[in-house]
Amino acid sequence: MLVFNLAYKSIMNRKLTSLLTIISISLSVILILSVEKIRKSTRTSFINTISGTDLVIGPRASGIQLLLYSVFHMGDATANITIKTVEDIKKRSEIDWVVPISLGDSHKGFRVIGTTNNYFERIRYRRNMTLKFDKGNSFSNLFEAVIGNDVANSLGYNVGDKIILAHGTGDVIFGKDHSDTPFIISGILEKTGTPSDRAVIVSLEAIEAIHIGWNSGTYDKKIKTVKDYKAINLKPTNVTALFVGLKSRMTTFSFQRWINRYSQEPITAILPGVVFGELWSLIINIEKALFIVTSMVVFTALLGMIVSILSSLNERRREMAILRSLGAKPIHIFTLFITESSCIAFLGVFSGATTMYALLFTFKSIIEKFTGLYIEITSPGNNEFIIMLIIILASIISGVIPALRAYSLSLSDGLIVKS
Amino acid sequence: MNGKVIQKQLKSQKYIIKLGFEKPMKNIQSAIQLSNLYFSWGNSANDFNFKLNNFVLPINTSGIILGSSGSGKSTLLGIISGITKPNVGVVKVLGEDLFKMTGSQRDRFRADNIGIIFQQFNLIPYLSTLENVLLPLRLSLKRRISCGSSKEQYIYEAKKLLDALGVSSKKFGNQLASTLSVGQQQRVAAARAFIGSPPLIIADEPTSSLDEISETDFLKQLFKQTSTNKTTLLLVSHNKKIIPKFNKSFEITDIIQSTLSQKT
Repeated sequence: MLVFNLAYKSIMNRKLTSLLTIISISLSVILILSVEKIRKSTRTSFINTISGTDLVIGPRASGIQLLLYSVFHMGDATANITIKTVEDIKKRSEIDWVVPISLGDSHKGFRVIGTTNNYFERIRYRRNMTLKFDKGNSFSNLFEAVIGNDVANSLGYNVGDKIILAHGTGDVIFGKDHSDTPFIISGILEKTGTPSDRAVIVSLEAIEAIHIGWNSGTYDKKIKTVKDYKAINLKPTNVTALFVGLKSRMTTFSFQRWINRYSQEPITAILPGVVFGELWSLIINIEKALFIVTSMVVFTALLGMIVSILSSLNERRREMAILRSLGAKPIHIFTLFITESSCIAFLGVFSGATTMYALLFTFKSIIEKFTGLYIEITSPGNNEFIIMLIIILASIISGVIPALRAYSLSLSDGLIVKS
Repeated sequence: MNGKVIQKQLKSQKYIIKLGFEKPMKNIQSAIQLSNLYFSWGNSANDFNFKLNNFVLPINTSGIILGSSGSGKSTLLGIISGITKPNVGVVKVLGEDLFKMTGSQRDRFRADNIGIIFQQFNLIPYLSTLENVLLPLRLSLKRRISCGSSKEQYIYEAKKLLDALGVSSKKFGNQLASTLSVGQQQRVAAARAFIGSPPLIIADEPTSSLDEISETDFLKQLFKQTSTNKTTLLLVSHNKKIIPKFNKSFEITDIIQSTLSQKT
């Protein structure tokens, strides 16, 4: 008890230094816990880009490639799936729903997705959340488009505005744009933090319609442009990929096998969750690097604590000699210093963790609004507790350094402080 | 006296029996008895070292050792208080051979039996005056028991000592020790040495940082306390004027042969 009392009073006596040390430890704790939290949230947010979709089917390619262009709209598809195959798939008894998508066009850098109306109901994110309309509605006419929140924000679009799509997804415009077929914005989606934010969504038929007169990727002037689209059969002949929901998850693997063995056309089915995992393992090194950097910050904070205690040691030799003269054992001196550093560390870790959660509560919605990163506030998990525990242990261990020094000084000094 | 206090006192009695403080005391003649000491700070011959053949301070006396600074006085006090270990020799304090004990036993012996006053900077700066005086009680059950059996009694005892030594406990008791004047700090240190009535008080130039008037006053109160508590006092000083106040006086050069005193 004496030691605790002394440690407490001594810390209080050096309020400023103690406070600064506590703050530096708590800042480092905030940093390392935030990194851990963001890492986790990024991961969840990444994996939750689509939810509720059991399989993604596309032309034969690597799973990661298929996932990248169908879900993240990164890169381009190498081939398409013919509509006959799509029909075959739809006929299967395992199928609950199918959402086809057709990619290949863009608008000012944002990808255009041709799809069906059930896209908005079936393509879900996070934990089964559906896409909601911020303004307007889904497309009901041929030349209507729904745009993602980022598209609307960065280009300043509103419901009713006219936009012109470009052929191809790159910066180079091939031949001509689709200026003869402007689209009217019928709706704007709410922010989701998924690639849907950066998409222009139109109907499959609209994709067909704007490509009338296009052949092999170039515009052939000789072919007449069609004024009355209703007279023409706009049924698509192929699509880029399919999002599929199954009636029962039990059939996922057998259905996947069926797709992969489909003999009419080379196609692949992937389980999004599995491929997300593969993709994430590519990023894990960055995660590690981030963790190492934050660990160094913690290390620096602890070093600061050692330095501040060590530098106070010389002026406290007198104090140690007094305590020894009163019959305090050298181990008392050692415990006094260990207790002081442990108290400081514990206060630092505790205040750091509390502050971090307070900050999360305060800025959660702002973070989500600006970055689309959804941070779930949960009680600290095992990881967090382990990190905090490690920091406390590390600080107790680093407290040993000045404590040992104090111990040996008090032994050699005895009653006389040699300066 | 209510039942609770009696019970507490009975408990203290039990402690006394348990700790063996009431074992029949040897008929101790000398408070301090040193013989054939050799001490060196280091291993080489150039390091400070000294020899001491014989030194005895009888019980219930006041002794003064005179000597200039650097003559080994402080080291000698360190040895008597059991903190500094001599290379060779026997150190008997209150009949006990200090260096036959373990380090831990020595620390407890010191906590129980010896009050020490330094030249200056005696107090823990971040504790209050009262807390400083109460410190020895926290480290020694024996001294706690001799003060009473409750916290109130300890504090009463501490205040009584402070007032007797001329530091108003009402005014300064709760003040941080670092805010006191040097003279006051020495008095507080004396109060701390006396609390719980340890049989031996060792003082290392306790008045050297005081002016002459304060010194006389301080010594007067010091002797008052030693006589009321029947305490043995060993004081080290370079001030020859105060010799008459003591029962016995020693010249450091007569007691020890140190490397320094040989050179000068």
